[in-house]
Amino acid sequence: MASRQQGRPIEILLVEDNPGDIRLTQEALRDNKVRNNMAVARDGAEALALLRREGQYADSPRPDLILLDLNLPKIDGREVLRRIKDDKKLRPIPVVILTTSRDEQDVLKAYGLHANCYVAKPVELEQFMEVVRSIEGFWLTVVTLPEAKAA
Amino acid sequence: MSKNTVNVLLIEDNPGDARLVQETLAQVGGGRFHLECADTLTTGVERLARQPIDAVLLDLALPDSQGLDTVRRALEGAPGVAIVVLTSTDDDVLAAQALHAGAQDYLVKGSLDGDLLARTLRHAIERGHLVRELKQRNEELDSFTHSVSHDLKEPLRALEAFSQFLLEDCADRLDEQGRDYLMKIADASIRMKNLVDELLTLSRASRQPGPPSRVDVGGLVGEIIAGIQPVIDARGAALAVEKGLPDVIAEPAWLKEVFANLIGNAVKFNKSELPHVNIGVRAMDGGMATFYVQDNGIGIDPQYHERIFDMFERLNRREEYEGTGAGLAIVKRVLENLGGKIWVESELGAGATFLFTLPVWAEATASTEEQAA
Amino acid sequence: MIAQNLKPAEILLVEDNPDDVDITLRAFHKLRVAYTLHVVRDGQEALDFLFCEGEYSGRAGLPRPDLVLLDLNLPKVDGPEVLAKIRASDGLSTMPVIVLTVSERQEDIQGSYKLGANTYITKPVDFAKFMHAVEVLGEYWIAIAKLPSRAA
Repeated sequence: MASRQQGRPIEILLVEDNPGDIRLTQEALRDNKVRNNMAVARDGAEALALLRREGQYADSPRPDLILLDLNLPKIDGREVLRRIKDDKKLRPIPVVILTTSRDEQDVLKAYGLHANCYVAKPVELEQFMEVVRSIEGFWLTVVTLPEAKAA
Repeated sequence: MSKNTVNVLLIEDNPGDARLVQETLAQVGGGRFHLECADTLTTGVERLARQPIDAVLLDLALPDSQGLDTVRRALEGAPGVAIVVLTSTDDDVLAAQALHAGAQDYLVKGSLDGDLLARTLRHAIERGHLVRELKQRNEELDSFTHSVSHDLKEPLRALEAFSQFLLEDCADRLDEQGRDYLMKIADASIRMKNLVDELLTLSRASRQPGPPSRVDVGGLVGEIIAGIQPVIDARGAALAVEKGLPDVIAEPAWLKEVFANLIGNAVKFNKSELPHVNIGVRAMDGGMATFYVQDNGIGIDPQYHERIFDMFERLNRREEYEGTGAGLAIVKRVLENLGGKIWVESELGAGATFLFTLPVWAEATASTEEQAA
Repeated sequence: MIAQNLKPAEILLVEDNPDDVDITLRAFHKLRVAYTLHVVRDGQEALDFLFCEGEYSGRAGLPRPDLVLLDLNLPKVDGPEVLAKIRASDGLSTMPVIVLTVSERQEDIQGSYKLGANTYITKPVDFAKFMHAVEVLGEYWIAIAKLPSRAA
């Protein structure tokens, strides 16, 4: 676990425009064993500005994990993914695509753009919460996340 | 210069004192000592960096440094060089502190003579060699312990895993004796794993810990108690922590290990009906605070008071030492690294008080460091 | 309840330590998902399996595995090289690779993610935690995550 080394909470960036989904994801990740902070970007442009620490995001912590919806305003999720994985500094950060589409082409394309993982959002509430908890159960406790290097 | 010549650097700002030392050393026949002088600590340290010096004669009152700080900075500037401190008066306390801070010896300026000076310098150099060698041997030993215990973990995992699998799959095919043997194997492998874990922690405790900083002991103890609250409640234990515990200079994570271990043991291995644990400060003296963790448990026979801190001794008396729990060897090692020590006061049937010392963080410490910076 | 892949997931385990192979197999055995597990013992065998060469030339035409569990310390060809070759290949570049190894060193962790590993997992030393980690990883990647289709 990344936080093991420093004892600090894990920083998660959720890129999601649907307020309901934002709320549910925050709920699901809040009361878990591993301390985490969640930042939210509501469109692709905000996400990239935050990751590049531009302007008002100059002091934002670098995320340890990114949850990325594909359908975003301003800059589409696929483009955000491409730019993250093209950037040498951002590339190691695991990106989990969390989106409604189950289309095989979307899945294939995401992995082709080097998404670390693709998870289809269930429509049903209970299942959605459970999926988010599984994401937490895996990425925050079992996985060793890459350390954010000093800039 | 022949290699039998001893190169000595005198760091002394008072010209009269410097001349006295030069003349005294010149009395020693055979030109065996070569003396250079520097009149500030800074120029002295610069000189040390340039060419090898065997020993330093160090006045503690220099224009750019005072007292123990001088010793510390000289050691930083030239790690491994033997330092003999020159004191102006019979200041025993300062001299003893200088030794504790890493100087090899001390001399009183008013009572120098050639033979004494020569002998002191030679002894200091020898001691310096020995200390360096000792440090190196210890580091190698710790490194060895670390690698061995690290490598042992893998076969241990296999041992634990397969005895577990055997129990799960074949227990019904074994008779009671067979199951009993299997359980013993599984238990032994867990004990061995715990031992290896402790060895690993012990070897880590010996390495240079992170930088020491100011630690709020009261807060730390509070955190630990909160962390083991379920155990406290289950045992029905009553804990009392003195108010106003002093801040100390320590590496926070390791200090937490010390307190967690002692408090945890006091709660967990206390067999009395109403377990009591008291935590506080018994004394503050000479820059050190003596903390105590006291319980009303079964107590420890005086003949074991020293041995309970030994790593392997505990194993031989597993039944007796269950009460003292694991990790005292680690606690002792950590405290020694922090500049303190630990001992126990106890009689059988009369509880136990673990006492340990730590350097107190004081306002004075902060401002000295600011001045020196 | 959670959507599962209809066909059993095909997993390639690249691991040279036989004890770890046994423990991993047993952990997978506990999963409630369907899977087929192939085991290879060194990096060369892994490459032969994936590229259908050498003793595995008979695999030509068969679909690639759904998931690869890759140890880094392997004889013959090491893990990072296997990973690099996977990512460089057109047919295999989207195949999920999970690095499962003892190393906790940042250079290995960063290096693996940079080379395109989907996930890096440090094998827990504790046996029960190791089993748990494998169970969680199996459950997550087979039942929760969507794997890219293997159609060429």
